[in-house]
Amino acid sequence: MMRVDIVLSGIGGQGILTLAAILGTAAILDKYDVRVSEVHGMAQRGGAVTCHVKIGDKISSPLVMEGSADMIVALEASETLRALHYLKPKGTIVTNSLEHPPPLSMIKGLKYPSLNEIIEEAKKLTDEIYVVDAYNVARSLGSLQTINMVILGSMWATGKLLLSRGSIVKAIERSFREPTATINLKAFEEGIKLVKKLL
Amino acid sequence: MDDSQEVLLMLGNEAIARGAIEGGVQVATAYPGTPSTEIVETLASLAKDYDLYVEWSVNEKVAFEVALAASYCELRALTAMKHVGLNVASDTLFTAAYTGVRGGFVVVSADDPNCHSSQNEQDNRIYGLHAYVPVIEPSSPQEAKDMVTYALDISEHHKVPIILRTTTRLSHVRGPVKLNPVRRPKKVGSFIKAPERLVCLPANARRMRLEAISRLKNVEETFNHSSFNLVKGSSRIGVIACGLAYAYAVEALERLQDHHNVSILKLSTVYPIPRKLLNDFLKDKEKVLIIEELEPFIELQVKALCHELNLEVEIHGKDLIPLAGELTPQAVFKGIASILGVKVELPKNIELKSQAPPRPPILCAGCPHRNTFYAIKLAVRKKNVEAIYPSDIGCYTLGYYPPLEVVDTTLCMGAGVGLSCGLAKFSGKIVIATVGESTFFHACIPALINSVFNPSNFILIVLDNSFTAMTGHQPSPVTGMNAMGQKVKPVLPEDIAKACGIEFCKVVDPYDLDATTSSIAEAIDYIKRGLGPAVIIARRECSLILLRKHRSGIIKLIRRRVDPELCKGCLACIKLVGCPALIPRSGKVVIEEEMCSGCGLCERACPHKAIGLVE
Ligand code: SF4
Ligand code: SF4
Repeated sequence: MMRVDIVLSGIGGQGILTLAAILGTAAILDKYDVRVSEVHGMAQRGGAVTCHVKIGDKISSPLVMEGSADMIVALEASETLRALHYLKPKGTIVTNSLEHPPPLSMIKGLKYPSLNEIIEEAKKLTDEIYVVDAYNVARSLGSLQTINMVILGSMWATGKLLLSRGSIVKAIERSFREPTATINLKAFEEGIKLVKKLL
Repeated sequence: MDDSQEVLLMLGNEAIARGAIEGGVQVATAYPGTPSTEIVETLASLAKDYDLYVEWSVNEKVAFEVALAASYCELRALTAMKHVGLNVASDTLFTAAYTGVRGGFVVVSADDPNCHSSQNEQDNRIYGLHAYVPVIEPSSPQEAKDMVTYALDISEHHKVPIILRTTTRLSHVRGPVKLNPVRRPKKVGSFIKAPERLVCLPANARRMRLEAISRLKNVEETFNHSSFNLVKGSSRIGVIACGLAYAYAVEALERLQDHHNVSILKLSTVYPIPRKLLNDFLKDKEKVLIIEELEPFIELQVKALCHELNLEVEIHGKDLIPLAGELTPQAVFKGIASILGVKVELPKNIELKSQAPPRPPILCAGCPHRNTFYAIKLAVRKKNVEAIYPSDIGCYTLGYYPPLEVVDTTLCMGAGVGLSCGLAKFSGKIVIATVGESTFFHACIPALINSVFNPSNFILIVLDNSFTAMTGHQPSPVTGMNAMGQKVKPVLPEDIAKACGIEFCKVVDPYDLDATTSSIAEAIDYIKRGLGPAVIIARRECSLILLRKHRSGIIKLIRRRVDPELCKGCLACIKLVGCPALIPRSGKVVIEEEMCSGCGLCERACPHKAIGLVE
């Protein structure tokens, strides 16, 4: 039985739900069963957002079991830690290098972990860690809103997604109007390059 | 959503909307509330295409009544609300079960285990039991769609209102949904007077209760043969799972496959329980585990049934499955493993040295409420008084978090003003209540009238941002537009406050911090002199809308920036204001340009004059 369980985590407003929905649409185009489960509500106001995506031959539960995700993805560096307990040993991690400490941690004087500390923690579980600078790529494309598509490209480039490139492209085209679609496709391609460079 | 038989990726709530259309619903109503909002939102967006009547009502009771009226007129109708919304509508629900309905009438109750965005967890299946209303529970987006149509048919056939219960996980999961053709027997509503049925005087009500009871008996018969219930396997160990719990159970059994054979009953019709079906399932069982989200609703009924039928089955449920919070695959896996007596390896928690920082939701950058809250603090300091801050349900509840901390109570829609009537009388402190304009219309007006009728001296600040912003910007009565995009006459809170008898009533722009602060200070003086309640309307469009208008060129925002030369990195702006557009970077603060609405609050807070307008 083929299946890939993914946990996405990030900050409200980063387009994590769009990313997850595009994965879902691409899965349907590739004739897979799929569940995309989003936690929103208050989360859109800068809170932590987690999304579970399961793609495969037959899926029933919408949630990923702890310790069993094939891949975890973080749209902000420290969010990797929030998803880490879902990862199965030797699973894949894709993380954005962007560091965005929440204002509350400043106010309360809480410690915000550095990228190195985060990677050190992740290494306890796996060596397959892709750190990508999605923020600056999106910036150079002229739209910070495309960080999510850069990450999507990187996810695909790891070769773990089961999805065809063509279906993802189609799903992106369906999700945006022009000219946004073109920029997002560009971001997706750039994201692929980021991981290809690391491989 | 077109009408071909294609497979689409749909949100559970969208699937419910689609089911309503396929089932011939003509009227849909709601008051927005997570996790139910997208149902009527989707229907509103399709109102023109399918010739539907859709409305955002002022509260759930009204929404329920408008839809019920449509059903009385023989039209098919749907009303959707979050679990606590049904509390507001419950007065009508209980009696609607007595009167019965004419056109198919579905009440979607979207429960929120784990309180993802609610004030409590509540299992609304119990409303069905209490109110004599059937309840059904789908287990996937596909079933959610199909069961709406089924529910409409049952409701119309047996003349009962019916509750479709979902939970957050189902409301907000996306999965493949195969579409069916839309039934379109367009009807014109016709109301046949039947006062003996629709006037619930005691004499009628006593008779109608008996009718309600007998309707339930008939529904149970139908449920015994429902194709949404399903039995698999014939082991002497059984699992009964309802709704989404079924999906978790299937996956847990997959993991345990090699160990044991278990027979499983997917129970979709949860009230009245189909006793014949259950009897057939239970009679040869040794042990049964019941898996359901929140209360032991089925468990108690099944235990009673076993007793009645003299079945010697060992029933497990909440002893092995958590009673509080949302079900998880782990919890269900553990429960099933333990009834099977299988030892399972659950993943060990890895020891981490560093943690992800807490990231609770906060008010958006440039949110006008932040300015109003800030002004409240300034005014209270200026007047040197001690204040209590009752508040309510909406974005502004986030004023609870530091650095603002101006929310002392949040109970349920409208409770803030009701509590203020009491707090102002009994606490001896200055009471400053905050409530969004949508909540104001929803449930605050009677309490405001009460504050004049039984005089109490508090300040009510209506945080008017022209939308029900929390749930995704549905229009509120001030917006001047309704769910179907019609231009309508705005209803203004200041007019209502005056009509309630409020004499101190002011409208301010929260981006004008000085004017807002001095109005609040003035109101403090006013209530201190015991002159009666004071109302201030702090009006400024939601900043997300402002940003949207800016991006599409309708308005031009003048933004703020931090001068890196002047910024000393003291973080005073972040500590005082907490705007998420202020980001600490390499020892200084920068303003994330795409987020800033230029409200100017941080400029006021910076002691080094490092923040100014972008030239
Ligand atoms: S002006 Fe300051 S407080 Fe206002 S939105 Fe911009 S950064 Fe935030
Ligand atoms: S959505 Fe609007 S009202 Fe809500 S926090 Fe954001 S800016 Fe404020």
